[in-house]
Order: sequence, then C-alpha cells, then structure tokens
Amino acid sequence: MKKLSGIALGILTAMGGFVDIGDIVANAETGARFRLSLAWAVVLGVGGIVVYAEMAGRVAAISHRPVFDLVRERLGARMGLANLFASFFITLLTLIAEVAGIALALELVTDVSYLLWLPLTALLVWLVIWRMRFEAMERLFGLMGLVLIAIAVGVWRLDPDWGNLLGSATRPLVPAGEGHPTYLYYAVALFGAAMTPYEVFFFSSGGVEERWTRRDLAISRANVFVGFPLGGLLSLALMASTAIVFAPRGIQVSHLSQAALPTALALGKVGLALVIVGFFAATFGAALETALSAGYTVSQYFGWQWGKLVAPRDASRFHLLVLGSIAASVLVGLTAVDPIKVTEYSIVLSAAALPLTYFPILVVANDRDYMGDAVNSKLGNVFAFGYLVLIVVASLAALPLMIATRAGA
Amino acid sequence: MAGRMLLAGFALLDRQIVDRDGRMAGKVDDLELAEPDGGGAPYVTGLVSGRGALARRIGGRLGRAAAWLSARLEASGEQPGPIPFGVVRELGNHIEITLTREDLDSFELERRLRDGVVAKIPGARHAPE
Amino acid sequence: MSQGRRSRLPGWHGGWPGGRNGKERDIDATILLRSEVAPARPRGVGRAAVAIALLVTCGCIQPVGPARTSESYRAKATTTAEAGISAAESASLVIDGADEERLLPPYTAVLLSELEDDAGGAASTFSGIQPPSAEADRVRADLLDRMADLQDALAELRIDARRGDLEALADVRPALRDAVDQLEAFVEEQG
Repeated sequence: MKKLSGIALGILTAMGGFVDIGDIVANAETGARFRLSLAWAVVLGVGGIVVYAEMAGRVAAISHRPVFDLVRERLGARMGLANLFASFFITLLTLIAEVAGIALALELVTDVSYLLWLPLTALLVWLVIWRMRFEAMERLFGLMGLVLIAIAVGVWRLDPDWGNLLGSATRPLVPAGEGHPTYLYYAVALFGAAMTPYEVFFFSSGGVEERWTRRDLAISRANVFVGFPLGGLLSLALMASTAIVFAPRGIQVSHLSQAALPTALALGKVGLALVIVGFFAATFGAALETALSAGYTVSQYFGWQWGKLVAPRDASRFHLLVLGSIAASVLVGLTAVDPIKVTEYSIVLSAAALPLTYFPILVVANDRDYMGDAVNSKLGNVFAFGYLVLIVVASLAALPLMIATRAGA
Repeated sequence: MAGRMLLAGFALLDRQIVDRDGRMAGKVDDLELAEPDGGGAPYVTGLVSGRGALARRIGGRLGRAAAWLSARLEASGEQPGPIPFGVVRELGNHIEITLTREDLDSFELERRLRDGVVAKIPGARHAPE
Repeated sequence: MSQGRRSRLPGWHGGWPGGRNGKERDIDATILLRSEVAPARPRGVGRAAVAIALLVTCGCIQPVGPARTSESYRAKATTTAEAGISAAESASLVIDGADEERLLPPYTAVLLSELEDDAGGAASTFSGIQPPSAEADRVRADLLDRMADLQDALAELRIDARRGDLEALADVRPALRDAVDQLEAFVEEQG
C-alpha cells in the first residue's frame, strides 16, 4: 500500500513537473496559430522523452552513472568537451527563460514589472537549491504544478465543437496563409519543448544520487511511462484552449499573460489564479532543474563532486557553477531581452542539440559491459532507434528552418 | 608475461575517480606510462588528473586555451605528480583509490574555492535537510 | 617485467571483469589512447553555438526586414495591420472577461499594457521601413493613422485597468471596434 502511494506520488510529481516555460510558450502559440494541427508533434515529443528518460533512468540504476559522465567516456574527451559547450549553453539559455518565466508569473499577480522581480526570483531559486532536500524540492513544485489541470477543466467548460477540434488534430493540414516551412519550424519547436535535454540530465542525476537500483526501476518507469504522458496532456490542453479562443479571432500569442486568458474566460477568477500559480510552479521547478543541470553537466564531465546529498562545502565547484549560472541568467534577463523569444530559441536549439546526448545514452543502454542483462529489449530498440532517426532529422532541420522562416515570423 | 592486459584507453581513461570516502575526485585525464626494462608493451604507472592534463591531451587551439585557463586557476608552481597506480583499490565503473581526494594535487582549486568562498556562505556545512 | 613493479599494486583486487577467474595477474596495459584514435573534429559545434548566441543576443532575426519593392512593402503593411488586429481582438476578449468579472485587476493591467506595447511596437517597426515609392508613402500614412487610433484605444484601456477600474473598460469598446474595422478594411484593400 505504501509502495503504491509512493508510485502514485511519483507519477503526479512527474506529471506536474513535466510542463515548463518552453511547453507553455510553444503550445499556446501554436494552438492560436495552427489550432490542433500540430498536436502530433507534441505526441511525438512526449514519446521521445519517454524513450530517452527510460533509458537514462535504467542506465543510472544499473551502472550508477549519470548522462554526462557517460558522454565523456563514450565520445572521448574532445568530442565530449564540444558536447559540453553546446549542452551547457542551451541549459543556460533555458535557465534564462525559466527564471524570467517565474518573474513574469509574479508580474501577473502584482502588476510590478518582471524586471524588478528577477533578482528576488533568482535569490529564491538559489536558496531552494542551497537548503532544500532533493526529493522535497522535486515533490513540492511537481505537485504544485498539478493546478495546471485547471486548463483542461477550462477547455471542457468552453464547450468547444469537439468534432471540429479533434478533426484538426487527426487530419493535420497546414492552415491557409501559413507556409510549410513555418509549420515545420513550429513542429520542431514543439518537439524540442517536450524533449529538452535538461530534463534527462536532471532525471538521471537524481537517479544516481538517490542510489536507484534494479528494484527502483519499476517506480522510475511508472514515472516515465505514466507521468510524462499525463504531463503532455496538460500541454495539449493549453494548445486546445488557445485554439478554441484565439484561433478563430486571428489572435497571435506573444506573452505569458495571454496563455492564461482562455482559462480565465472559462473559469473566472479562480481559474485565472490557478493557472498563474501553475505557471509559477512549472517555471520555478524547471528553473531549479536547469540550474542544477548546469552544474551537473560540467561537474560530471570533469569528475568533480556534484549533488545535493553532500554538504555544499564538499561540492564547492558544483555549487559555484549553479550559483554562477543563476547569476548569469539574471544579468541576461535584466537586459530586457524578450523572455518569450529566448524561450523560442532555447527549445529550437534544444532540438538541434538533442542527438549529442541521446546517442551516447542509446549506445550505453545497449552495452552489456555496463548493463548486463538490462540492455534494451528488441522492442525497446525499435522505438529507441526510430527516435534516433527522428531526432537527427529534427536536429538537422532546426537551424535551416529557423533561418528560412526568420524564427517562425 | 605476468601482466594483466587491458585496454587502458577504455578501462582507465576518462573514468571517474572516487576516493576512499566515496567522494568524487576528478577524472583520469591522462596516464603515466613506462617501458619495461627488457622491452615489450608499456605499462601504466600512474593516473594523471586535473591540473591541465586534459587540456594537454585535447591539444589544438581549444586545448591551448584550456591549458592557459587551467594554469590561471590552478597554478601553484610545481608540476603535478600523477596518482601512483598502487593506490588504486578497484577498477570498475569507477576507479576507487585508497587516498582521500584532499591528498591529490588536483584538489587544490576545489580547496581554494571552498575555503575562500563556499564555506563562508551560511549553511554550507550541512547537507540540505 | 620486473618483480619490483608488481609490488606497486598492493591493495588491488581485480574489479575488471576479465580478472575474476582466479588467475591473479599484475596490471599491464595495452595502450589505446583515445586521443590518438579519434582525430578531433568537433570544433564546429562550439562555433555554431557561438554564432547562434550572437544571433540571439543581437536579435538579428527580425520579423520585419527592409523592403525593396512596393509589393513587399504592402506585404509588410498587411503584417503590421494583422498584428494590430490581433492585439485589438485580445483586448476585446479582456473587456468581455472584465465585464463578467472573470479577471483580476493586476493581471488585466499587465495584459492590456502588453497589448498596447505590441501594437506600438508593430507600428514603430513599420514606420521605420523606408517606403520605396510615392504610392507606398500613401499606404504608410494611411496605416499609421489607423494604428494610432488603435493605440489610443488600447492606452485608454490600460489607464483604466491600472486604476483598478475594470468596469470602465466597456466604455472603450466602441472605439476599439472602430479601430479593428478600420484595420480590417485596410487589409482588405491591400488584398
């Protein structure tokens, strides 16, 4: 019974923790512009993160080694270093977006500019990392993020023409007035938003730190196979809400505030408050994960002590990296770069960089020297290699599409 | 030939070093080798970790930049000595050694950052509760 | 190999898979340094990252670029008008929501001020584009007039919302409706 409630809690945490600023922005924008005709990209992305996180979790449980430890060993010091640069840069870009997202959520409650909230926000993120236990931190923000279910309730209350809505999801067509490159650009963005690499750095490092063993695999898999898809449903609900309210009126979404409007119109003040709290929790949780991931990637590459189980003074370089990343993200944020644009770039570049970390994990997950009999099953490999192809295609297409469409303009 | 043969590039290089307290103590960035007196395959006498070893191995412009940075950050004058192979306790997914990481040359930067910065922040002495 | 060398491995007890069969052996290594095996070629990734970082920070990727022909000038004018319509339609949803008491005052103020910025930003970007012909001059003046009406309406909404007076928002509805009609007519004319 206790174990069952533990699994349920893990699933709910994974569900609430799935959504971040990238998912919010990408789904709200595409819903308004393409209705549900890009829902397939979200489904593909969620499938991809399930396959990827399951492998990384299994590798962490069996070999006790996190992603970036293996990246260096598998790719060699040199290629690993180039990989580190790319992954660290994208993680930092994501952190900028998430921290700004927290500040934007606070602005919506107070009508005080997010620029003024940024320093306080960063301090809070750092304090939580500095003093809160890993599991408590993950649970708190994951469960708080569950209030985003209000979006799904809102969609139901809006009482849309379901046949029409589902029709646009199951027969994906490029809407009139939109070019194919733009459509594909947003498909890559949604795919990248669902499959951001930091999620897997965080997931596998957490697994190593909490000393997962073979016995914990069931729980880890339940989180991944049930929690992530449920989280993906929240993303789709957001897409549906803007598709219903904004698409018919030709409204383009370019602010976090707009993403909350359909739910507010459907559910009133309570709904609005819940969505804003949900945005806060989702971005705060993701800011913690990205800040830690910035420390994980570098420390794991160089073999420095990392993690939250030891006293901070015993992992000095790791904690300074985390602190420095948070400070850098605030400084960039304070230049008043458009947080929504930063978010868009971060998810598209995530898609571009994905093969760099996916491939080494796929290789290790098939290596009996590391994994014994816990290597990928035949069926597992069908999905894992299928996704490898997909990830490489998305990666190669990401930058040309970004340039050709002027970042989706 | 009494030696144990293994692919040093695979079993040693780039592996995580873990000290006797279970703390992570750097990676094997390079190896110190010696030729047997009577000729034959070279053997490993020491593990080189940190202190610009990785930068030297990477080479090229990137390596030179990294070496410069590492010299700035870690310089203390004398060349770092390798970790003698005799302190290796176990070779597996990690390389366990019988020393503590504080005994290693590569710990210098961590020690300086700890004593100079991190230990001075309130709450640095205990793991989060 | 000399016996002296072997004594350098006192505590080692063979964690390597091949060494567990009881034939306890000394360590010797067949050297296969990866740095020699893999000739390096990864610098491009780092460089691409730097290039993208520059692109992102400079904001070089702009939705509206320079116009060389009347045709492309007209297309940019349409894009600008559509951005205005989008902001106005958003604002009219906000008025609906405020009417039914579904919105909180701070949220309403933030959203309306962002919509005002959107309309203002679109207008000022368009106004910065050099018109390529006399005909384009007329298009420019016409659109900027209509956008100014919209900006006025949005500013009025923002001012009311900042004062916490959400009931007053409905009074701006006719002006907003008018601005939208004007912009839609403009898009129609441009075809």
